[in-house]
Amino acid sequence: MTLDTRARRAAQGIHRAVAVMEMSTSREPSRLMRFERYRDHKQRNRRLGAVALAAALTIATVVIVRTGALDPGRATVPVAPDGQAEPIAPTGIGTVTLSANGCTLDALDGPLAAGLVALSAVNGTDGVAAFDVARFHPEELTYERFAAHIERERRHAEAGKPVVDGAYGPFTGLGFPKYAGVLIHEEVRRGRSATMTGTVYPGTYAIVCYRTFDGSTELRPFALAGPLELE
Amino acid sequence: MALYAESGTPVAEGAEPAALGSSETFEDFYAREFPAVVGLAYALSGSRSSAEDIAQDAFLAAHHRWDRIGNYDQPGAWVRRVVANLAVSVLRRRVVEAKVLARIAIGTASALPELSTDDLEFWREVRSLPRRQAQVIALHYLEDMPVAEIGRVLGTAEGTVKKHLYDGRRTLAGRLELGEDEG
Repeated sequence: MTLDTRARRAAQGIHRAVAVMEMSTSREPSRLMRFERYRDHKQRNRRLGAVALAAALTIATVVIVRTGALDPGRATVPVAPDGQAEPIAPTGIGTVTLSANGCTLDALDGPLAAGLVALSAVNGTDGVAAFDVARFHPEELTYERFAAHIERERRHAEAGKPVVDGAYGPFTGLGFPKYAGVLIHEEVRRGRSATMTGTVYPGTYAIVCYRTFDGSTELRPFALAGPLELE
Repeated sequence: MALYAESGTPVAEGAEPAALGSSETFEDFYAREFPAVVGLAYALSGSRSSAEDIAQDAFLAAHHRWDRIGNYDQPGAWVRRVVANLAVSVLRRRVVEAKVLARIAIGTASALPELSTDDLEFWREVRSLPRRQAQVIALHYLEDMPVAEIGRVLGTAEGTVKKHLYDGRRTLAGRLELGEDEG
């Protein structure tokens, strides 16, 4: 069986479930009356919620004033049992910058740990851009071959070759190389920056940078930055 | 990218109106679109109990702004964007679920029928994809929506939709051990 066959079968399952729900509720008030009932229910709850919120704020204000909880000298920091502060934020691993000339990765010094990570992505071009954090297997696909693959895609895009009909992805027939997979994807508006956050495994990574070409709105591969080792 | 207005009602950011639409009544719009929108909520939330409430929330938001949204060329795209964002928000979904379970207990709400094991497995894998990939896959397969239209619903460039579709299909095919069809 192919993915499309399985997916369309699963879509039919959803349609059937909705149809059954519609039939089973047909003896009840009409669909529109159900909506009106839902709307009235929400409006009533909102009014009750506003009253409850006002009461809760009043009580909280009284408690804060009486206990002096806003006194900075009383503030405490949550500490894990072993005495270490609980890590609550992703670990920064560096910055990737896309410009009209290329894409560069400025990784932080030292061994970088896998897990929940954050990578700053800066779009210095005059159009929308996108970035993929891609893990690849150097024993099967070297960084140089990966970069050459993206370089070929860039030349195709610059030459105005369209994406092959029926091919998924912004590639001109070559597709994403084997032995590489995307773990984090982020789209960044022109002149803006964003933080790419996600959980990654130990391994070797590269950043695929995408941009638009010749006024098109289609994002296509432009350059590769890296490599980056995460332990 | 769901925004929440003062009232806590979700709205679709940047759901741009195209030309003036047909200005149909909200009642006609609701009657036509409701089943498809509930289906989208069910596929993306995986919750039999809260799918209808997620859809109702989106229609309620549209109802409050019907003077404006009713004139959009595709008000259905606006509602689908709200649902797609609500349904993949874990926190929001849990809040809705808790409320609706209480209403089911007292008999004022109903749940959708359970899916077959195969279909459950498929949609569970879809929901385990990154948020945008899951939304694109659901719209593509549930509504046979072309890439350009998915882009309009989600407010994303066509190229990005193609990429999400490509990545999502490739991951799904791998996890479900299925062959990929050509485009």
